[in-house]
Amino acid sequence: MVTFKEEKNRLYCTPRQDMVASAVSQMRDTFIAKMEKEPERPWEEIVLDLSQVEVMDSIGINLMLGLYKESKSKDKLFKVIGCNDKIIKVIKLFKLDKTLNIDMAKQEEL
Amino acid sequence: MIADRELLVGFIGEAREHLSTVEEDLLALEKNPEDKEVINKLFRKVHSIKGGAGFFGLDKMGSLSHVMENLLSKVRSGEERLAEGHIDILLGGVDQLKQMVSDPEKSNDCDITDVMTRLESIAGKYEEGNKQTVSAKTLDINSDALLGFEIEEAEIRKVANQGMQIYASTVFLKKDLLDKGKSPFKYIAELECLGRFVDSYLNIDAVKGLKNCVESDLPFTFIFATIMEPDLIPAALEIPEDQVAIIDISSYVAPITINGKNGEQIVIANESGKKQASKAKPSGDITKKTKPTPTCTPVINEPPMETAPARKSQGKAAHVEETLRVHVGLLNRLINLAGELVLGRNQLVRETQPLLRQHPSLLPIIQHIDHITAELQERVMNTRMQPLSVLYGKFPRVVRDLSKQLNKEIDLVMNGDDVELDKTIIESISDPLTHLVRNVVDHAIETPEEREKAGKPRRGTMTLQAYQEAGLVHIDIIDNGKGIDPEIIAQKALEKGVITQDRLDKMSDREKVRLVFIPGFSTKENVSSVSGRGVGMDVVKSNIEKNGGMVNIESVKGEGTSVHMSLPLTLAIISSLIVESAGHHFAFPQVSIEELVRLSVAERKQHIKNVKGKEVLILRGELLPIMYLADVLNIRRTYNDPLTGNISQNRRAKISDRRQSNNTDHDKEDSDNRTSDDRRYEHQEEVIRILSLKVGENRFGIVVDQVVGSEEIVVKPVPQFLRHLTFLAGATIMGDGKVALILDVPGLGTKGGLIFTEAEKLKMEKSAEAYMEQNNDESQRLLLFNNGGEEHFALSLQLIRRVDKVDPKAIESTGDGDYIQYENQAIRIIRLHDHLAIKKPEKPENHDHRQCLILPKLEKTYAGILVENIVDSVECRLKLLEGGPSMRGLVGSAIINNKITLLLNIYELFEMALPDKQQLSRKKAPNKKNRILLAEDTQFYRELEKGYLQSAGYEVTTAEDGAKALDRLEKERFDLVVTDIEMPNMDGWKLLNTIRGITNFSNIPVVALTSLASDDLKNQGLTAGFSRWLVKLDKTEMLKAVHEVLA
Repeated sequence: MVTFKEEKNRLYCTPRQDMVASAVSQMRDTFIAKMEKEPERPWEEIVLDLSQVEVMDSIGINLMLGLYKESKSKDKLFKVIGCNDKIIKVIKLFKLDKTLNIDMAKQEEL
Repeated sequence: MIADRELLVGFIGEAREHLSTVEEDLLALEKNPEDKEVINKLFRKVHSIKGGAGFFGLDKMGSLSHVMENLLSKVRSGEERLAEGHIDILLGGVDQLKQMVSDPEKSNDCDITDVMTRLESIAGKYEEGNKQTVSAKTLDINSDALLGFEIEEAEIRKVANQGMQIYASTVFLKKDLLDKGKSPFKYIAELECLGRFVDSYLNIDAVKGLKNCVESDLPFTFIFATIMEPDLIPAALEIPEDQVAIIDISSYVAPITINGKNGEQIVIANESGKKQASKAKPSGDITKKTKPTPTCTPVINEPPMETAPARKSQGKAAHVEETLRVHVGLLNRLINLAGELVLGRNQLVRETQPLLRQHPSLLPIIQHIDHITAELQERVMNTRMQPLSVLYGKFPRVVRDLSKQLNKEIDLVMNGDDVELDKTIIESISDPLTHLVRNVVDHAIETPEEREKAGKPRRGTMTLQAYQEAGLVHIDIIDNGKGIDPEIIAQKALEKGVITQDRLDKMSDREKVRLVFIPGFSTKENVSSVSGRGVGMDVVKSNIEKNGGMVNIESVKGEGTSVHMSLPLTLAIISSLIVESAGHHFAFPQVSIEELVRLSVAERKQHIKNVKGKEVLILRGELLPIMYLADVLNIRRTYNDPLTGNISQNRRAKISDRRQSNNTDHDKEDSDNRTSDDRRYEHQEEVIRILSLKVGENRFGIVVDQVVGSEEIVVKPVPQFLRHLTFLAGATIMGDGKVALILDVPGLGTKGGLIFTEAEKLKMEKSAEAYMEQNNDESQRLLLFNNGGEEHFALSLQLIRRVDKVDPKAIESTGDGDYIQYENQAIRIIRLHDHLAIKKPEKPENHDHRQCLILPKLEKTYAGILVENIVDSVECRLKLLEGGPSMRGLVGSAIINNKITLLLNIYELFEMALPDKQQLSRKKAPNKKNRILLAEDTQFYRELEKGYLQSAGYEVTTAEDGAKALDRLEKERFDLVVTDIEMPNMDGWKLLNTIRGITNFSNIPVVALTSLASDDLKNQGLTAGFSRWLVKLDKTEMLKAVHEVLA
C-alpha cells in the first residue's frame, strides 16, 4: 500500500510496507495509476518517502529505479527521503546516491 | 632507505619464523591430515609469506609460496586430501623458501623449476583450472570493463601491499540474489566478512520506467579486495565463474630499494609508478581509474607504512606489541656496558669500604647501587638467552626425513625446549646436536624388521631432554636402539691403530664405548650421507668442550644409547678460580678444574715423580703431568717466603726439588755468590698447590703460588695484539681494578706439552703401573684430626661427605642433644669424648676459635662429628697395632706419621651416639644366627667388615686369604662367604671357582667385597657366579646385600 500526498508542486509517495517482491507489483500498479492521473498543474517533483519502509529487496530497488526513470522521462525531479541505515548502505554501495537525489537527513522531518 | 631495509629485514625475520613453524605444522598434518586448525594455520603462514614476497618484489619466493598456498587452499576446501607424498613436496617447497629467505637479494636467481613442477603436479587439475580462470578473466587495471569505478590509487596500493587480490564481480540482483532468497543488504553483509568492497555500482540501464522495472535483472558490479584465491571467489560470492575477473594490480606493489653491503643501492622489487594524484578524476557519472605511470626511479614516495598493519592483521598483532626486534650488536654493547658497570661497582665497593665507618650514610647508597647493578646485569644477560626450542624446531623434520630415507620408524620425544641458553652457545651446539640426532637415526635405531626380531616394538624412540641443574644446562639424547657394541668399537679402534691391545684389555665396556670420541674414529665402512658428512664424534666433543661443556656417552648393547651434554648457561660471565703465579693474577674457568691438591714438603717426594723425563703427580694411582704455571707462560717464577713475606726468585729446577738448581750460568753465579746463611731451605710450612685440570680425557696439573679465591668474572675479549696466544681465553678486571688474564685450559695444556697422545699415555701408565706395583697394597686415604686432646684420630676419606668449619656458638642445645644448622638442615652434633673413652678437651681460651664438623656419607643420617682440628689427609697402608687401644667405636689403631692414631668405626660410633635413629635405619636382624665366612687379606678391612657384620647380628669367622677360607669351609658350616678379590695364595676368583666345584658347597652364596669397582669387572664377577659384587666400606649396601642373599 502506498499513500500519496500532494504539496505545492510535489507528489509525496509513501509506501506503507516493505518494498519486497511480494508487494512490489501492487505498489508499481499504484504508482502507475497515480502518475497517469497527473493534475492540471503538473508536479514538478516526485518524492519517494521511505520512512515507513524497513526492508527493500532487489525488486524494491527496481521499483524505486522504475519510479526514478519514469519521473525522469516526464522531466520531473525525483527525490528519495526517509531512508533507514540499511537502505542507505545499499544505496551507497549501489552508488545510487550518485544518480538519484537522496536526502539522507530528512527522515526526522517526516 | 634505512626504513626500507628495516622493512625487508622485518619481513625476512617474520618469514623465517613462519617457515620454522610451517615445517612443524606440515609434520603435524602428516599425522593428522584432517586437522583443520593446522591447515588454516599453514595456509595463513604461507599466504603471509606470499604477501610479503609480493610486496618486496621477491618474485620467485612469491610464485613458490603462491603455488603452495593454492595446494593448501585446495586442502582447506576439502577438495584435496594431503597424502604423504604431498607433505614431502610441500616440505621441499619449504626448504626452497628457506634458502631464498636466507639470501633474499639473490632469491630471484634461484632455480625453483623442479619444486614448482612437483607442486604443480599435485595441484595440477586445480592449477590448470585456476590458470584458465586467471588468464581468461584477468583484467588490466585500465580495462574498459572497469569503467564506472572510482578507486583511489592509495586504496589499490594498500590492498596490493596487504597481499590481497582484487576482483571485479557482477551479481545480478534477481538471478543471483532474489531467486536465492537473499536481500542485497544481507548479501553485502556476508561479503564484508570475506574482504573489503573497494568500489561498486549498480548498472541501472536496464530499467526504463515503472512498467518494466519489476522484470529487469540489474547487474551489481563491484571491486572486491580479499586474500582469497581466485578459485574460491565464485563459491564465496555464489556466482558463476564468468561473472568474476581478477584485476592485475602487480604494478601497484611498491618497489623497494635497500642499501647493499657496500653501500650501493639495490632495487629488489618491480619498478613501479611514482605516486599519482591521490584520487582518480571522475569522468561523468562513471569514472575510470587512472593508470600508474611507469618510471625508472626506484624511490618510494609513499611510505609503505601500510605493510605494518598488513602484517599485523595477519595474526601477529599480539606479537608485535609484546616484542621488539633489537640488533644483536646493540645487545652485545649493552652486555659489555653492564659488565663494565659490574666492574665499576666492584671497585666502588672496595674503595669505599674503609670510609663506611666515618660515613655510614654511604652504606645504603652503595648497597642500592650494588643491588641495581646486579639486577641490571642479570636482566641484560637474559636478553641473550634463547630457548632451546630454537634448536629443537628442526629436529622433527630431520628425524622424519632421515627415517624415511632409511626406512625406519622413529618417534621423537622432546622435553625441555623452554630451557634457555646463551645465543652464542645455542649457535655453537647446533651442529653437534644435529649430528648426534642424525647419528641416532642412522646408526642407533634399527629398522622395524630388526626391531621386531629383537622383540622390540617396530617404532624406535629418540628422546631429547634438556634441564637446568647446578648452573649448567644438561641435554640428553637417548634412544632405545641397538646400543653400541663395545667389542666392535674396540676392534675398530685396534684396526685403526688408535689404541693398543694392552690398553684395550684393561678397559671396561664403558671405556670402550667412549673410544668413539677419539679423533678420526668411525665404525661405518662407508661414510654415509646421513651422519658421515666428515664430522665425527670427536668434533662433537671438541665443539662442546670449546664452549666449556662436557659430553659423555653410555650405552647398553641391545637396549640403547644415551649421550649426555652439559653446558654453561652463558659464556659472558663465568665462574672462575683466581690464582696467583709470579705476582700476577690469573683466572681458571671452574668447569675445567677437577680438584685442588695441596702437598706438604713431606708429601712432595711421595707424590711427585719423574717419569720419562716429565714430572708427574701421582694422584690416587693416576699420573698427572704437572708444570709450574709460570713456566708454561714463560714468566720468571717467584718464591714468596711464608715467614718473612719476602718475594724472590724461585730457582727450583723441578717441582719436587727442595733446593735451588744451578742450571743456568746466571743462576750458578748467583748461587755461588750466596753464603750458606742466605741459602733458602724448605720451610716445613711451605706447601705447593696444584690445580688438577681436565681437557677431555686428559688430565694435568698446574702449580700455582697462591689460590686467591673463586669469583664470577665478566669475560672481556683478549686485546688484538694478544689474540695469537691460544692459551688465553680472555681477560677480566678484578674488584681491585687489576686485570687478570683468563686462561684457556686446553691451550695451556698444549703449550706446556701436558696433553698426551694415546701412546704417551700408555708409556706413562706402564711406568705408573710399575710404580704402583712397588707400592701395591690396599692403601687407605685417611683424614687425620684431633679432638683437642692428645689423641690422634683418623677416618677413611671414603666415608666422609664433607668437612667444614663451624662456629661453636652456633650450636644449639635441646633436650635431645646438640644441633647446628647446616645446609638448611639441623645436624646433630656428635662429640668423640661423649662416646669414646678419651680425654675431654679443655675449653679453648680463644672463644672465637672455630671447630670442624665432619659429615659422614651415611644415608639419611643428619649428624656430624665435631672435632677441634683437621691435621692432614694422607694415603697410607694401614697395619693395625696388635694390643693397641681398642674399644667400641674404633676399628683399631695404627701408626700414622709416627703417631699412634685411633681409627674410627663410624658406624659403631653413630650407633652409640644415635641408638634410636641407627636402629631404625638398620635392617631387621635375622631370626636365625647366620654364619658368615669373611675372606680378607687386609687387616684393617677385615676388622672393619667383621664389625659391620657382627653389628647386624651375624656370626663371623675370618680368614686371611682364599686358601685359608677354603680350609675353614671344609671344616665348618657357613651360610655365606664374603670374600675380597685381590688376595695372596688364593684370590677371590679361584675361591669362587673352587667352592662352585665342590658339591657340598656349591649352593653356598658367595659375595665379592672389593675395591675394584669397574662395571666390566662387576659384570664378569656376576657372570662367574658371585651373588653380589660390592664395593668395600659401604656398610649399608653390604648389609643390605647380605640380608637379601641370605633371605
